[in-house]
Amino acid sequence: MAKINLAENPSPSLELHGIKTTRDTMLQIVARKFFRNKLAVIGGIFLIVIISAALLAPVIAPYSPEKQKLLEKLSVPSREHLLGTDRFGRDIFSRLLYGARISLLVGFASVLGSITIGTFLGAIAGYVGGIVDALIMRFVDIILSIPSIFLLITLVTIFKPGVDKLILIFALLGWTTTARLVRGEFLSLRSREFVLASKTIGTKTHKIIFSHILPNAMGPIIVSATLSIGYVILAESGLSYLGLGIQPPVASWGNMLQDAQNFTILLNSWWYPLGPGLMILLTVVCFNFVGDGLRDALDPKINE
Amino acid sequence: MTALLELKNLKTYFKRKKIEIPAVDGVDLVINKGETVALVGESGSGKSITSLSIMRLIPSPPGRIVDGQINFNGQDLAKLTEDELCKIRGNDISMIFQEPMTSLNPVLTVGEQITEVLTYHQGMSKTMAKKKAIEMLELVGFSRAKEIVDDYPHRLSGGMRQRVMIAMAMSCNPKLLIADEPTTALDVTIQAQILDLMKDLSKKFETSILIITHDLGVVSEIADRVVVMYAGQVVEEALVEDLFENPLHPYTEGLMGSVPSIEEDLDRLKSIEGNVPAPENLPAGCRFAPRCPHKFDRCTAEMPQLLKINETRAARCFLYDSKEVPQ
Repeated sequence: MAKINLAENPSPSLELHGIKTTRDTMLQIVARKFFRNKLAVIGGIFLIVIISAALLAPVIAPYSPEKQKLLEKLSVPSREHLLGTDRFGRDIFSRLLYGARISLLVGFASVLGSITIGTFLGAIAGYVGGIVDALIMRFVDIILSIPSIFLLITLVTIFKPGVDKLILIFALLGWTTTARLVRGEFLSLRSREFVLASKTIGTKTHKIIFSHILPNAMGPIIVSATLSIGYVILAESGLSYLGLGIQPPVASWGNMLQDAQNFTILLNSWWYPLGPGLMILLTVVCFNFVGDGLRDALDPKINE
Repeated sequence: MTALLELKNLKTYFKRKKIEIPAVDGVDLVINKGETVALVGESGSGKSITSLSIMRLIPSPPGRIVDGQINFNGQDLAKLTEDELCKIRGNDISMIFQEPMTSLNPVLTVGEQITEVLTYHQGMSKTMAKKKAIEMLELVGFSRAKEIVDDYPHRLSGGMRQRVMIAMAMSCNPKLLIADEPTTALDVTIQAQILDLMKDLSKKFETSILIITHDLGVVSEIADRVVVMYAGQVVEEALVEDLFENPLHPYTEGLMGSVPSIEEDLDRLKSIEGNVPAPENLPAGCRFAPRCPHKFDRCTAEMPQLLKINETRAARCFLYDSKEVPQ
């Protein structure tokens, strides 16, 4: 048989016209697609700034975050105190830097935990189906049927609040939505023809689940993860507002905001709630932008 | 010739609302080494379920192989465990599908998908496997195999994807290739190329092919032998020339009659009256009897057996029963 040539011969004239005929690596394609999304890039830059500021807090912070100067309490932003001081005369800028460490750590670690658990259980439930699916999903229903805020409060009161316990609790409660999402994705993906095709080449079940189907479900998982980071940072603030989150004098964005929730402060010292409030808002929004950008960039079906 | 695959009385039933539906009902089929057999029949006749039963990939529940043997190369596949089957799938028996657009994983590169078969079955290293994958792609007719190997499926056309599927299916040099309507989704010129390629490869690697199709053109192009299925049963078996020259079973006759001919000028194509009976509501006698132009009393009362007419031919019809007085 004569060798069949499809219309796939690279013509040298294409290169002369500056059209590339070679292939880029996966990483190059993903990077190019990500950088085309302006919002995602801005969000990414901002997150990098916050994360490095948090890591370098001891170097950058002009004051110790817990050093009180009662004489200078609630002073307006000035050259000495860039973002003013709180009601104990502590430098808000320094406290924000240290607070970022706590808030981001809680956000990242607990989402990493909850996404891992949720993806694992959701994937198994969706792919295997039947009784396994029923058991896992009823368990999810049970957890979801308990109002999470009360459960959080109860758990936090039983175990003394602390960063490690907060992370554990958020991870163990937050996986349910991911599990549902991943299960739904798997239900529709498992009947796709490429899954049958990978069975015909002898691929083992665990490999089909985790290396064939899971990459196809990555988009929604990443978006859900970035949304959850925002949610956890907010939830940590919520718990701190109730006095059950990170305990003072350690700074977190949540307990700073809680500390500022005082009528006279809100009325007279606008800069105090503004700092942590704006940081929470910006961080959550940026995570969402980056999540969107990553989803589009990682999906090879979305053309450049 | 020695038999590579032999199905004996294969029965695959599906359970729907507590009723057992016989999708495949006692199929006997032999495929010899190096032979290409076409399995022909209309939608719902059980051809695809037969092929999935051979791979033991019937979705279960609701499907189940209730009876029969699948003798392949000295083993009864119906009795193997899932682990043993994984070693056979892709290595000894592989399969390609109707829809090349959806049968490749969209988030893995072509190379990743081909190398997976090689690293798993042949224990190759990643670099070796990639080299072999490029070789396979060249073999199926890609001149830029080195670049295609790093491409994602969405960059390829339907015909190119079907080539990739063939490259993947053939990479471990299987003894049997099952092709489930491999050309249905492709346009006619590409169809011919793909069939040529399959013929070529089967000769080169001495691979037997079981091709499932409802396109008689494809059958005449590629097959050595034809097995016609109707409502879950084999109704006729013949060498391809014999079948086209002289179809025995009235159903086959009807199929042949419905193919448009260049010589005749017809306003309407001939068709077989009526529909395939629903599998949960099969007639008691011959399953084709309600649509058969030659039927007589015995047909509605008794189920005909697959009658051997000579070495290579068999038909499930009382017309060829020597005890029967010709009408």
